[in-house]
Amino acid sequence: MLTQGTALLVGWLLGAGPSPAAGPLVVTQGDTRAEIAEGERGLSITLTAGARQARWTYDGLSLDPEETGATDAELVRAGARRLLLVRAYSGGAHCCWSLLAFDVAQRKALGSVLESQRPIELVEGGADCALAAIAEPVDREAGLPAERTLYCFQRGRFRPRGPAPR
Amino acid sequence: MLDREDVTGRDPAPGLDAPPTVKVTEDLARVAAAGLAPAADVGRSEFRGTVVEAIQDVAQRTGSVGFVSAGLAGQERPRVLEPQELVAAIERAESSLGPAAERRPVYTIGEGGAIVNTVTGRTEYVPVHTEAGKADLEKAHVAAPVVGTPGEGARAPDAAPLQGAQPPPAVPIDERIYAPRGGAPREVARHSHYNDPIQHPDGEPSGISRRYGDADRDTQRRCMDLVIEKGRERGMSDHEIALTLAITRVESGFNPDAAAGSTSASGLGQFIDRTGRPYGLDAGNRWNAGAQADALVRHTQDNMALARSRGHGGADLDRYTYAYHHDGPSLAYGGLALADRHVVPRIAMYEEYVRNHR
Repeated sequence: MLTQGTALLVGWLLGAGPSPAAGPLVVTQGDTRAEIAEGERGLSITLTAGARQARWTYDGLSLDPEETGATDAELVRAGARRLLLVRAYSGGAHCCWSLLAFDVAQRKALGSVLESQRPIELVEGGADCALAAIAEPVDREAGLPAERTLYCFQRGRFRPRGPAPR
Repeated sequence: MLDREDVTGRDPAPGLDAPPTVKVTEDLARVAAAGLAPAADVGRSEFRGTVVEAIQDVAQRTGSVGFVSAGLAGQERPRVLEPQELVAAIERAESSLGPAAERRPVYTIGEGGAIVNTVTGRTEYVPVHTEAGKADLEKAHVAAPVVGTPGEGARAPDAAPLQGAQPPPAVPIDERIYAPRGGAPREVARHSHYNDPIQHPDGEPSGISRRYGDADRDTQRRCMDLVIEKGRERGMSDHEIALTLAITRVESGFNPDAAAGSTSASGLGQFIDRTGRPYGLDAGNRWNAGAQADALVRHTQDNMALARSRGHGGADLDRYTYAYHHDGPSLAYGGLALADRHVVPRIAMYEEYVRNHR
């Protein structure tokens, strides 16, 4: 997981656990603070960088309900960009996961930059990829076998690189 | 729903270069007994994919229990392979040819589920319970009459010709209601239940493995009956129960022990741990088919209510109900297309089963 050296502090304000009653998830790094709250209607994300603040809501989404061991939100660097990444879940019986991305410097939502029918993993991308992830494409059309796929973040989205290494 | 990889066979299977042999399975014999009734027209000209994808698509939508190679139809004893065996054999053959030969999306699906190579224009495989498949089998004299009825020890004499056979006995239940066995996942995530041991109290419905559809017919029927029972208890109409059965079919293949490899999804409705909890599923009853059926019925009712509240009633209700099951409230992840392909076409079949189940 791409957590070491990126997310300086990840913590729950009010106890552990991702249920709405547990309180918002807070991620901080320097003067940047992100607060992700789960409510009855969906996710509320507040990003504060210095004196400026922005807020977004996503109806129907929750934080990743699977116990994968990964944190649900991280502040990461992708080349010159600093991003807030949030692993969101759509609320289906067993599908689907989205990675929501926010440009910290511009306080701009990039939206859902990756969708998956399994929990999304952030991984080391190697020399030519500042930020990589492993996901399984959501089967939109053909009922095809899904591949565990490696993606690289480029030009504002995660783009497929091919089958993920095992 | 199980991982898509779970319906991709990876089992050892006969290679394509093996000598032709006859494989008349019990399922195939039952198809023969049922008179090889034509499948619903699954022709869909816009399909374009690999041969494996085409086979899986046709098998899913028709419930076909076997495919015959059209190119072998003139031979005396062509092979008839179950979908997963055929997929495994093709994948093995492709891998021996190298990466360039793999996954070429040049196949389409023709009338009756025939799988057509668009480059050569030739039909390469046909599902056995279509008219085309029947013709191939008759030519090859490989189909066998069957004695008995499903669930009562049907047996298939070896390689007896179909032509001239006595009219088959009545088959009370449409064979298509049963799900075929899926493949094993390519990997198992830490939070998956795939490697949990299968343990049940005596008499409780039990799968054979954690694969999609890997439960014997008695178990599959008992799971269908549990869905019907729970649906009636909770006031569902026959049609709504049939929709729930069609959802069960696509999610688990009526295997109460089915588990996905990449998520914690498990059981008849393939709920991940967290989404099953509000419907009463927990570590203590996760593998209990009755608890699973009740959870799925309640979840389906909730999704129907959500669909109606958003104006998706009438003919759209079934589609949206499954889409909410798959996608959640956002409807942004392809659930409607999956409903159109895998759920809606099977509702009428299960509704007939429900009507006859009193």
